Amino acid sequence: MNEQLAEFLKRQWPDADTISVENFEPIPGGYSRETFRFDARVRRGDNEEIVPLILRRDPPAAVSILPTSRQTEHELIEAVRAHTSIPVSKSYGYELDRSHFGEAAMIIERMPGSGLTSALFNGGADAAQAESVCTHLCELIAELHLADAEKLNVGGKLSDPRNVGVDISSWDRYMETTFEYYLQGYHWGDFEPLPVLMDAYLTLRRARPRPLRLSLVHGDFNPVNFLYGDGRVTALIDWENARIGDPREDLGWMQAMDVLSNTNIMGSVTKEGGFLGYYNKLTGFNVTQDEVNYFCLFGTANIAVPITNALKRRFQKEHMELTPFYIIQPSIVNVLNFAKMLGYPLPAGV
Amino acid sequence: MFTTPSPDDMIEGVIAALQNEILPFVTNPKAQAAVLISTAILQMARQSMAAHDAQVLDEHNSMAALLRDVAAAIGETTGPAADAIRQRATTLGAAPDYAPLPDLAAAAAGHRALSQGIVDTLIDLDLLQRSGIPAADQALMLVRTHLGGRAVRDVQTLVVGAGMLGRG
Repeated sequence: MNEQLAEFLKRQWPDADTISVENFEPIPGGYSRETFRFDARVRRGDNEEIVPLILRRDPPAAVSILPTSRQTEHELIEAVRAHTSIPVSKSYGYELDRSHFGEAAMIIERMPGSGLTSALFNGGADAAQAESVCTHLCELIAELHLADAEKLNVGGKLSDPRNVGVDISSWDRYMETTFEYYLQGYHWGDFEPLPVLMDAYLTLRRARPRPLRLSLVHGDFNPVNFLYGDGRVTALIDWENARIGDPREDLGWMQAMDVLSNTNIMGSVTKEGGFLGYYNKLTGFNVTQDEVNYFCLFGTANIAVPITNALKRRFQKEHMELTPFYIIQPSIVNVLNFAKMLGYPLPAGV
Repeated sequence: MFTTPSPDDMIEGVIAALQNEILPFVTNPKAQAAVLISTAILQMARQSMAAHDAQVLDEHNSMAALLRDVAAAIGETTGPAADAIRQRATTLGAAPDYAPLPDLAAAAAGHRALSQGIVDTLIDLDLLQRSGIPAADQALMLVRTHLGGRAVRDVQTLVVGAGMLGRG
């Protein structure tokens, strides 16, 4: 792998005299892409520098949970770097030819900062930084939602990145076509009847909130998709599920994953009455807690479609990877979260 | 409760992972042996699960009958040993039979069919609600009460630990 990486980098940096790759090792965690850290030792004349890098590679198609394009991700994060002040890894390019890295892949800058976000909460080692980091995180997601979506939606690829018929010509069309996708997607993932999921999709369609202008959403804004240090977010990471959508989707997904991850991102902001108040002050969107709750369900549905599809492929033995069995765990918790969000009568204390 | 994946599906998945995802990367011979032993034990657990409950019930009933049959076979024989056999037939041998287990595969198939019926009912209720039929709201609440109880029980039964491995 070291040789392939060096060869790729030589194509990106033709001015380099020599490039060698060191310290290549996998980064554990994450369920959609395979990630590896490594250093490139780059010599230009008398100058030598060490460039910290990450290889993000697609998993084999059979086991892929969320098929996304490395080219689109590359173009997006370069657009985010160009048109916003959001800290994001520089992308050094992508390789779609599977013969090079085994699967399509991209190489990005390894940003400084800790990814051990659980240390910010529950009395962890970095608990003192939680408020300032989460406040900064709120500012960054507000900036993303206020950014000019036209500039970030390079070539229109983020209008319907899953190619499932989503129409972003208006908020109403976006919601209607997304519901059509959810209801169709239910059948792609019904490894067995999933009535709570069906109830969620139908209820979302019946009870949609007021329209809001569409923007670029991160798509996986959750408690582990950022790095931090010295009380600031040093990078927003993992942009593969970004798309044009309702900005409240990111808030709802963060709320859902905050519970699932046993973290407290949204409760750690005190400015302007909390995360939502501060977000509203920054954006002027006046998002209500009820709307966040709605999009908590909506965002969970959005990821439920590809996840249940991946589970179905495994349970039908299209492949024998183990991870889907583990993903059942958060899926079961999410069914209960769906039930809570939908107002199911539940036993006391739940 | 999910009928898919079944406990057997899960164990089979772990066996496949041990063989395909772990064993090729284990270099220590003792650890290699431990992986192979683990797969064998897991396979034993699969085979045991498939037969365990039915065989325990069957053998329970057979043994009780056997103790009664042995007592009958020795007839009027006298002496402490014969007395002990007759006594055993009236205690252990008098244990009532357990009913045989129902066909659990058929029950699981029936469970899936009923769950699908609930999905179809939700779709019909949605149509009624969108047509402004108030009774549909009440009917939906009945379905949700049932599903809510199942959701809580699934979490209590199936979820291990807090948070997700590999998530920060």
